[in-house]
Amino acid sequence: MDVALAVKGLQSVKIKGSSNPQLTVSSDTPDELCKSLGISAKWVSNAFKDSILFDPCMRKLVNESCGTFLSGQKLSQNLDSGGDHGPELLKLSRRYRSIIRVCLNDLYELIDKTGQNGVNQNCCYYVNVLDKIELIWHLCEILYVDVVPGDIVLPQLLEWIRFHFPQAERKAANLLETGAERVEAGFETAGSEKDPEYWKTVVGVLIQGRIDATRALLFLHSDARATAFQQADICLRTMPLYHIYGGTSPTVFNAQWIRWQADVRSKVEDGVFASNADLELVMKIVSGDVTVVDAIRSHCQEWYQLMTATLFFTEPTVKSFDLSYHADHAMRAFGRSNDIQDLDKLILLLLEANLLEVIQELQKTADNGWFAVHLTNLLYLCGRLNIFDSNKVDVAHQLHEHVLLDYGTMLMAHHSLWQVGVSYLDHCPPQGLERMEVLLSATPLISETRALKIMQIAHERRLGSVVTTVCKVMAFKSLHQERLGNALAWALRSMDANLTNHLADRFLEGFSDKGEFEATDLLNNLGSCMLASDRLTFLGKYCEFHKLYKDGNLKTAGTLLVSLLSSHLPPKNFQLILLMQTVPLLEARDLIFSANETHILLSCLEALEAELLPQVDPHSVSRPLDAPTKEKIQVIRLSLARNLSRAIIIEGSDIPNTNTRMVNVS
Amino acid sequence: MFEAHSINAEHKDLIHDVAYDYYGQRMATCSSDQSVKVWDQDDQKNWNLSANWKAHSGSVWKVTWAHPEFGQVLATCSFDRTAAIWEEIIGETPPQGERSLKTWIRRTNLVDSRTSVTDVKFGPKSLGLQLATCSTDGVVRIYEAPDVMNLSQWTLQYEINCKLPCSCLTWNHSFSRLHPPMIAVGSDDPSPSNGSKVAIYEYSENSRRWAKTESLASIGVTEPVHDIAFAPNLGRSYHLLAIATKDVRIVTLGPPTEGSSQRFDVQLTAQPEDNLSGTVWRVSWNILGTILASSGDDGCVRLWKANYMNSWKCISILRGDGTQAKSDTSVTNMPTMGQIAAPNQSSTTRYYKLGSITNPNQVQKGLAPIPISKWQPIGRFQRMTWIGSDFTSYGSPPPLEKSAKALCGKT
Repeated sequence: MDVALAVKGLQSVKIKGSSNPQLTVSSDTPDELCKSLGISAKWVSNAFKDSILFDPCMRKLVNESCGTFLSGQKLSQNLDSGGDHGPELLKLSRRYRSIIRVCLNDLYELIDKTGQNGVNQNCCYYVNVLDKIELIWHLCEILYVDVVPGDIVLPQLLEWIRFHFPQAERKAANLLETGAERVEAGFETAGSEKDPEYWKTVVGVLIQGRIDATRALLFLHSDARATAFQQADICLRTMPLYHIYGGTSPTVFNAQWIRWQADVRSKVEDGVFASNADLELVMKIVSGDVTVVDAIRSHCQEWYQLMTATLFFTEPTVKSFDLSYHADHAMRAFGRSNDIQDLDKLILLLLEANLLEVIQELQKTADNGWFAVHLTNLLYLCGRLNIFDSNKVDVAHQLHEHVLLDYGTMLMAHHSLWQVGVSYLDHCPPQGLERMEVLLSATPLISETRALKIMQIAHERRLGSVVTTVCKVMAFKSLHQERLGNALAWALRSMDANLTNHLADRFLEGFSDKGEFEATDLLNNLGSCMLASDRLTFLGKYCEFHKLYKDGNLKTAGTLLVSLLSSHLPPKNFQLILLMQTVPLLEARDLIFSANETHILLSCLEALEAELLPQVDPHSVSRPLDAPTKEKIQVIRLSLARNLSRAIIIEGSDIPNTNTRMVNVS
Repeated sequence: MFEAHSINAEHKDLIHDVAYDYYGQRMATCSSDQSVKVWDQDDQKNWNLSANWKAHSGSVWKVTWAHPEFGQVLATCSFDRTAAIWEEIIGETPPQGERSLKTWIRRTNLVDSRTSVTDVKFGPKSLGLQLATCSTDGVVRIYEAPDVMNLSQWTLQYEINCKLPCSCLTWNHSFSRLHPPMIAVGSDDPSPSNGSKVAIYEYSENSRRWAKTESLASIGVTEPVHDIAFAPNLGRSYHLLAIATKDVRIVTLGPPTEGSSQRFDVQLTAQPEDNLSGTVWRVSWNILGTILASSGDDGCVRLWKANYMNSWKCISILRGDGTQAKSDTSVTNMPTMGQIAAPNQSSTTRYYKLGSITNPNQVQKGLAPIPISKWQPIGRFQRMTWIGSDFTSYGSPPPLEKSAKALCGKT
């Protein structure tokens, strides 16, 4: 018997298995927590400050699982095209599980770091929840994702038990190591039975199906050379083990198995192992003796451990559809049937293949449906979700979408996880998009960055209404803060004519009060945006006029002004201001307005005056024709007249326009 | 499952209505003391009074926010026979660290009603800025602001005579252009002989008129209706209408069946078999139209949600004192509803923070002799998802507590 090999095997298990030295610690602490759960109000306030998923240390879980979910969705597009996607789906399931494990490890580190104080309690609670989730997920994977030919699941179930109850194997590895050292050191036998845990460990690894480890441990007994032990070793060595890909069919294997067990039983009955009571118990277990169930039970922490253990020695080729019967049996034998907890219930339901209820139960777990949504999604992808309503219509699709919607909506409600929620809602058409439309526009616009992000997401999904709403709300916000330039920038993005009109008016108002524009950089670079509304077009053009005027480009400025006045774009109360601004141009040394243009200006003035005269309506913005206005009109009229005369003289003479300028300049 | 926070609103009389803004970050309360108060939530999620003014010369029945794309706008209606539009205006920025009160000015006063105006609601923003009011003389009025930038100009577009005294109205916020504008009106007329207390009016583009298209006679709502609310319609082919009468009812208005002369195929989808809540005073949807909150005479707020098979069930019960009803832990010395309703209690606004709601947007007025409460449809729910199991078999629904116990109970 190669001890070293057995040690090696165990070490590899140790690495693979949940190597959580704190597992025992953590399962103690939540226990206290649990006690306080039912009654303590403190718990409620702790837990609901933000639920488990929203704790910063669970961030990784949310984000990573979202990535896996998305790759699952990508995979689902290929699913319809046929072919075997089992391995890929299995990989997906493993990825989810490894995400949980990574998260668990992080939590352990956190617990280590913080020591035994307040923060710790929450972490321990998270650890406990995640650990259970992983346990259930693993079972799901075995039963529904990683489907083996022949439906013989016991080897995998044993693996599952080993993975989640690694104490016995860990102890065995420990014993084997010290035993090997002693043998190396020259002792005749390792004498490991002096360790008080020795027999407990032997039975522990035996009922988890680790025959090689059992043998290795027995070999370390001081009496290992005695006949009883030699016989036991032979029995265990010859034990037929079922391998799915071993080449033997279940029927052949069963025949071998029955023959071998009869052999063992007869040996037990002959008293071959009677010299050592503990060894005899071990062999009785191996022979499938029903009288030792109690002994096995004392080595199990949970009823499902008992189930796999008894199955291993009585019906190793059990099919998965028989499991619910055995589960029931094991539960009764374990004495737990009166005190079923949610976890037991979940495992039972899984074994019964009652997936609908499994999902219903999962929705009630403390992880905000994280588990329910991802598991449902995975099972849906695997095509294992066959749920029928009373009319025998498959409603799996509805259920899947419902769960996705709930989870996505829940995430979107969170102030920083909302973007993750978008990815989930993306995958539940058509309702997802509609919900997104509502939820996106109801996301508080706490900053410009947030607003831009929402706009981008909405834009990618062609949710034009959301973009418009966001822009308008942002524009109103800026307007409220008197940031006109910013408001205009947002209003332009919303393409809302009403709003831009109003803002343009505000700009003009500001100009007539202060004589200068706010946010000139924006106004000077409006470009084609100025076409959003009439008033804005005017504002843009008017700014252009000011720029030209400042640059000394009087001729172009003049033409622009005339075209503005004749276009009916300017608001009524602004026409007089515009006309006043023609005065310096009219009085310029150069002739700027032609006779024709002067005529146009004159007619504008006439029209304005005619409008101002019957002014009795007090609500109108323009003032009644008071003295200053009258004076202004007179000034303009005079300038116009003088300009007209100049223009007629110059245009009437033969001198071409270019020459006039040269003459004037000289 | 939830925490209750109290705000001492310091209203000097009954609080009649509480309304959240679109984002759930602001809250407006109105009271019989004729005043309206606006509350803003700060980063620590505390509610601070930001404005307080005398709005009417009578009890203010209802207060409601316009969509934020029209600015910060409130509408109120009152016993003084008027409805009013209020806008927050830019005040001087306060010095650092000081919280100044914001100024709201009355943009317009709608004085067309000759009796108490009982409800006021802004229409869907796709219709521009429209406002519907209803009054005890049975007239529904629909106003419109032709220029949304000028809130001082409102024109009375339509008057609909409902014949029965109106108590409440609701717009159907549908996202589909195929649905014409729709309003449901409820009446609190106490006499059952006056027929159905709910009427549905639709606007016809062709005749440019509002016409009554359904009275829910087949459902037989003959008791007084206290509140009514359409669920936001996110692409459903049918409309969902919640009615608060002697119990909660959820009615679907589907497209008519083939060959039927009815405008809608009306179905009662939910009505609790055991009416534990007594008379229901208010109903309110979350923004997705997936969860309904109702408040009843027993001082509890109940949350209703449909499962994936579209059957409605109560998913949670919140007691007026902030404890979870039905929970074993609630037997501590918490004041009962009656104690809260005692007249010597100060005017208090209560709101609940559900573990499942981002914004503490659950409000109940604890002081009213008749406990009325309002749950503004902003709720974005995080927990309490429920997919159709029968809760009675598990006892009370709080999911976390139970599963936590189960998950931790194993060592």
